[in-house]
Amino acid sequence: MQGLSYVLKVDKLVVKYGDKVAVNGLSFIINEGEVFGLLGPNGAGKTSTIRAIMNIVDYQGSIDLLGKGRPKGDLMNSIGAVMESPALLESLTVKEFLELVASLRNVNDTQRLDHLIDAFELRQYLGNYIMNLSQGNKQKVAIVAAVMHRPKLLILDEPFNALDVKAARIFKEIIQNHKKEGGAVLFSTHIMEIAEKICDRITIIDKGSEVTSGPTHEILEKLNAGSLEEAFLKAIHAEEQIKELTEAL
Amino acid sequence: MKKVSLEDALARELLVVGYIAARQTGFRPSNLRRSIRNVKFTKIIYTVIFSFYIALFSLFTSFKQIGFGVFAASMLIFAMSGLSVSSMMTPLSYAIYGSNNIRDFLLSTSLDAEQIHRLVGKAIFKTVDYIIYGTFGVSLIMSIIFKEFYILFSVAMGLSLGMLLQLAALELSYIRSKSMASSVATRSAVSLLPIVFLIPIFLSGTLYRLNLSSISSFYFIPPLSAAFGNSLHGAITSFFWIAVFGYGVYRLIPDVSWKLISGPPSAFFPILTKKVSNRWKITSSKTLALLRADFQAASRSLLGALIGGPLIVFLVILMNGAASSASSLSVLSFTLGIEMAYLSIMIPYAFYAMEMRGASALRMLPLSKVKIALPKLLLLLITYFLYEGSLTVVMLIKHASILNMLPFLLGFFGPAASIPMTGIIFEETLKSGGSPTVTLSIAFFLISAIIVAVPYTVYFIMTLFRMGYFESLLAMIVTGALEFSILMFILSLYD
Repeated sequence: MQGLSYVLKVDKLVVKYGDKVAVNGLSFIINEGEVFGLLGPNGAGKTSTIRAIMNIVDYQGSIDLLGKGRPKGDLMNSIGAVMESPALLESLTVKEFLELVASLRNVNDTQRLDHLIDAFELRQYLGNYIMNLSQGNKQKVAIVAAVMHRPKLLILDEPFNALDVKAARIFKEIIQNHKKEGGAVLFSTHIMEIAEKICDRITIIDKGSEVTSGPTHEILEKLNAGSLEEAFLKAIHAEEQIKELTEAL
Repeated sequence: MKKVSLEDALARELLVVGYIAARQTGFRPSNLRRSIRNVKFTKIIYTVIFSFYIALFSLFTSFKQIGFGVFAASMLIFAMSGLSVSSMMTPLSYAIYGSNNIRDFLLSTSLDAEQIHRLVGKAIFKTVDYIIYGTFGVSLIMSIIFKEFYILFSVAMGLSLGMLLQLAALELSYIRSKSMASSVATRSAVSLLPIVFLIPIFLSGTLYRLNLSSISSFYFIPPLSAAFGNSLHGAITSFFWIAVFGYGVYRLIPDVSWKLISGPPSAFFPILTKKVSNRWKITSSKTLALLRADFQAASRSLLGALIGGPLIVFLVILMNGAASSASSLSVLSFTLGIEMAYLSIMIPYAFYAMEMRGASALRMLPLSKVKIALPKLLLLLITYFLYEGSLTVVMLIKHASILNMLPFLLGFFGPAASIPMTGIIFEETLKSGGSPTVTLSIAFFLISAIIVAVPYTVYFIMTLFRMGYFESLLAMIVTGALEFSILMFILSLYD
């Protein structure tokens, strides 16, 4: 482990659903203290990549977490994840769910748990069934569950979905602090403004394959773009298409 | 473009929404087209299975050597018909969580409320149309071939009452309550209602060998009247009850249809009703933490039926055992022991199904597949020994021989092996995107049936070949242990 600086290494990843290839030979590395953006249009293969890392779907290629191989069993304690649609145990109350996660992750720092609850203004909802919560509050519960144990790698799939402004700001601060403490973040989104602000390096994928990759500022320079949105549209060759379509309207 | 009738599309939508809500994993089905196709496939499979059983039970009275009389066959046919429609309509209970979108869509069209009302009513009927046509058709053919019209009346009564019970259950689920306790009670009653009524009737068909003449004075009581369907007074009474139940269905469908697409009532998950303390209850035992959450979640969901149902059946079997004589109890003990063993595997299945709903959350936690299986195994063993132990105590009290019970007290490996098997099936389901796969559900019941039975069968065959009692017991234990270990090993490979 000495001298190892990467937290996650994905090599030649292939994910298939029957005949459909969702991810096609994707490779990337996420280093300590780095926010890595995985960007792409809807259906590009972002969520499939994350599902492979989370060991949810079958895949080919290799995934290595902290030099210990594929994430599984106790190694999952090094990961905290917020998925696009947080699937929680809906008939548990918020408190019961967080107690379950804390027990399974051996979290004894209840003070941190209390701070997180207060930061995301969830205390009043502790007795609520998760099913009753708004989408935004469900997202907050998923975030608390993902960060309570100070994981080495945060996997975030569209984590700002439905979050209110204050909660989104607090979560951005948590991501920055996590980075400062040497943690790594895999950040998947299609909202370019947020990606541009928080990602150190990005990989843009389309139809399951890498289109371009590198530090954010280098990609902007390489594609001669003023913003990440412009770079993204250029990378996936959508600018011309958008022009044609809007003209036809 | 292929023209699809609106009620067909609505029926399909209600079932698809219901199935996806019932098996919500947090993952979108990876193949929605297949999920939709599975709904139609489910209808066909259910129709084939239930029609097959009705044809099979219809044969019982024609083959005297089986020892089933008209009473037993009628009760089995009646209960099976009732279960066929009520089980097919069960997803509608789940559909209420997502079907208000259907209402919003329909209201945005040019249809008025009355038309929507009628359409949803027709859609409810469409969810069970294949089953009704299939089972009724089979019963008509069997009645004509064997000239036994109790078959036709038993099916018609079972179908009409099964539908009525399920609609009543849906209606009941809308009773609003202010406290958590009464809300849980309402939900449990809702999910258990058809089972509570139909399972004991089914069991009475397997446990009692009654002559019709001994119960002739009760011919006017449903479902007994169906058993008298070969006589004129039995046929008239049966017809009367079928008409009454049918009228009940006719009156309930419009009411339920509107409620069904109006979204869930607040009583299902009342807001801010559970008081919580400020102290966190964090346990260092992963097994206990998972077991506690499984109990909490399952007891509040419709899966509670899978826990409550077997418990009720267990009590019915126990009461039947207590009511039997010592000699018949000794004879029946092998059948009762097997039934108890099968009942014990339903609860862990409910817990796995419960965890499927939050699968993507649980997959992020440091849990190996074996660790996930451990709380279920613990619970299965407790349930198993409670069931088999209670039966043994009844036999001891009645001074019946417990030699036939020893294989069950020692043969826990068979049911225990169903846990890794269920785990493997659920892993496969998750890989397919957590979408409803009927094949996998059927696979669970078929494979589990075989796995649980293998060690007992080894014991049975060895005693049949007059091997020693203790050698037979030892062979059963070794077979079960092997089966359990191999399946646990396969499950661990999914990590």
